[in-house]
Parts: sequence; structure tokens; C-alpha cells
Amino acid sequence: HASNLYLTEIPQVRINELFEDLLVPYAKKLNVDFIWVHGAATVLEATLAHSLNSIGTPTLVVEMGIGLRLTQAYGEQLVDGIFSLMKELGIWSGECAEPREPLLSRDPEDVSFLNAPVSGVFIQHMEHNSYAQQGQLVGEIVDPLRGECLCKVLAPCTGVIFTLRDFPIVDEGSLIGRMLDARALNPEQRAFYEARGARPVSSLDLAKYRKGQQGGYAE
Amino acid sequence: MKKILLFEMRSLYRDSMRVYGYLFGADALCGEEDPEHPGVVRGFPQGCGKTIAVISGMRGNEFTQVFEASQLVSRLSLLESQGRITEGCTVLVIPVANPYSFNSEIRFWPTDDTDINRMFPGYDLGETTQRVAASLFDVLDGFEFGIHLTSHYISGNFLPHVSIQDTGWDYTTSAKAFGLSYVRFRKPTQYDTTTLNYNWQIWNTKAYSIYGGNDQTVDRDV
Repeated sequence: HASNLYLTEIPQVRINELFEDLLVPYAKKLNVDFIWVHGAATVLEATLAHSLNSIGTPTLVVEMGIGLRLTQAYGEQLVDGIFSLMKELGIWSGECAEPREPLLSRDPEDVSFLNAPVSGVFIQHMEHNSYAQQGQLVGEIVDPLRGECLCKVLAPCTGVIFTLRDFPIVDEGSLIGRMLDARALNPEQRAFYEARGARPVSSLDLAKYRKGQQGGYAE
Repeated sequence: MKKILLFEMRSLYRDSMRVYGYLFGADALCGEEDPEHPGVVRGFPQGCGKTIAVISGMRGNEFTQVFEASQLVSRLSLLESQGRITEGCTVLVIPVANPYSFNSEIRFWPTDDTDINRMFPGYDLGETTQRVAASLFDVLDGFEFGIHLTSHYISGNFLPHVSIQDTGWDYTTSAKAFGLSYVRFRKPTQYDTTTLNYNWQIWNTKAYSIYGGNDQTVDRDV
């Protein structure tokens, strides 16, 4: 399923630790970017996936993109993954893409949460799925009336921003993002993400517009 | 009676969200007034006794429940002025636990549509409604009795009744004292384990959830 209306997610499979051994091999065939094995929270026991897994039907929860919006590339990526998994299971005998090797986290300490310390408007400075260095500026929370920066949101660790807030309004405590610590990456994955680095948000090019270098908005 | 500013949270577009409680009883004399808010004590007084807590308005459409709490504050004020509150007993009434939703007439938290009554005991470093629940539970923990004036997740016209979740602690006989139509004693489902009623019991408070009437209206009879 999608994320909620506020957060955008890279294609990922979330697995309750109770079913880790059974489901991780299947999830690796799904061509997703990330597999997150997490603790058994009480409310998850009321979900469809938990119920099906409990009665012996292996069920994967894929979370990706953002609610009420269409992310075509993610959709196509997952379709490839479903055919890859069906081939593994002997359901499909035709061609299919080789699934990518996903990031994998089994340790809760690998994932850091970024919660808004104050209410305001979150302005992101870094694209989703960036590789941020600890202390690097992920975004700012500004006062909606005066525009002044109330708080700088800094990366709590070095790693991949696999969840990032798309909806700009935040209350104190609102989730802004989640990061997977670099220690969870294998050497190849780390090299890939380090080469990618932190991708700045294109809207920062507004500064160029303001200087009149590309026409429009010249002061 | 002491009016207590239990906690506040800065808002984005409007004034800060402030959650107030009204404390009655001998121990209510403790606590110092906040110089910034005349007549208001900031924070629940440390060391103050905790006999009964009544909370309502955790959702923004629980109008009858807030009305009930306001009537209770009025009645208790009169009784206290007549010296009719038993010495050593305290009553805390929180009429609107979620003024942000109440002022917006939205049942759940306006920004992310989450329910505070599915966030207990709360987490002070978590998401917004987890933090609100943590602030509330910090005050509500330790009371001998807890009454939550609340509403069902499915809307409808409910006979006034008491509901108690079965956590293995049976004090249902005491619920008859409310004099309502019936007492419902039920096994909690998985997601009930994050409600106030359940968590109150886990931390040794006899908890009663009171239902009655419709959402979004004030039912004076109820």
C-alpha cells in the first residue's frame, strides 16, 4: 500500500520480526529498494498481513510512494518484482527482470526518526532517497507568517533518507523523515549511495531566478 | 477550585493549544499561581493527592461529553464552596483534552487524522498525538479512579452506559454506582490496548468509560 498523505517512501517491504525467516527470502525477489524487519507492535496484530501470515499464507506488505498520488516508476518497478517472485515460486515461466538487491535492516537501532521539534512549515533541502551525512541540513521549519527559520532539521546519522515528508505543514512531533544508518549497508550499497550523495532540492534554484539569471522573478 | 494549565503545545496558525484541568478538594490548595496567567496554576501540583480524574473532549466532536464535564465543574464548585468535598479527596476534571480538534469541529487530530485515544500511554519523543497522550497520561497516571467521557468509533445514538475493558481486574460492581442503563464488561481487542481505559487499568487506576447520546450535538438529557 501507499504511505499516508504526508510522507513519501522508497519502495520497501515491511516485515514483522515474527515472520522474518519465512518472508525475507520472498521479499528479496520483489525488486524493492529496502526490506525493513521491525518489532511486533500491538496494533499491527490487527492488520490483514499479520492475520494472513498467522494462518499460514505468506504475505508481504509493500509500502511505497505517497497517498493520493501516482508514482509510475515505483509501480513499474514493483510489477517487475511481482513477476520475479512468481518465477521463483514456479507460477511464471516467462522472462522477468533480475531483482535489485535491497537494503536490509534487521536491527531497530539502524533506523532513526526525524520528528518536528516545533510547529511550522517544513521546507526540504534534500531530495527523498538522498544519502546524507550526519549533521547535514535536511530541511528547515519556518514560521508561516514571518518566514523566519524556527529550526534546522539535521540528519541524525549518516545514511539513506528512505522516508521524507512531502506535506509541508508540521505540528510539534510530526514525522519528517526516517533514515537508515549507513552501517546497515553492504560495501557495494554504501559505495553506490556515497556516489549519489545528498541530492539538493531543485526549488533551491529559485535563488537563480531571483537574480534574473534565467528570466522571471527578477527583483 | 484551582484552574490548572496541565500542558501546552505551540500551534502553527493559531494560539497555542492549552489543556486545562479543574482541581477540587483539600489538596487543591497546593500549587502556586502562574504569574503570566492570573488565577491559573501551571502544571499539576507535585505531591497532590489523586482520587478521581474525569476527562472528556479527547475528540473534537464529543460535544455532549464536554457539556457533561462543564456541568460537573459547576456542581463541584458549588459543593466545594459548601465544604462538601470529603477531606483528603481530590477531583480533577479536564473538560477538553483536545482543544485543537474541538475548536475545528474535527473528530481526530486535524493535521494527520490520528486519534489520541489510540496513543496511550503515549511517547513524549514520538509523533504529535503520541506526545499529547504522553502529556495527558503524565497527569492522569496515579489516580485511584478514572472516568473517561467518550464516544464510540461507530456513530449512533447510545443509551448512557459504562464500559470497562476486561484486563483481568474485575471491579464492575462499583460501576453500578453510576446508575446508568447498563455496564458493559468486554475483552479488549488488539487495538484497544492503546486506549486510556486499558492503560489506566494497567497502571492500577479503576477506569470507567462513559458513553451516551450522539456525536456533534449536545444532548442535555444524557
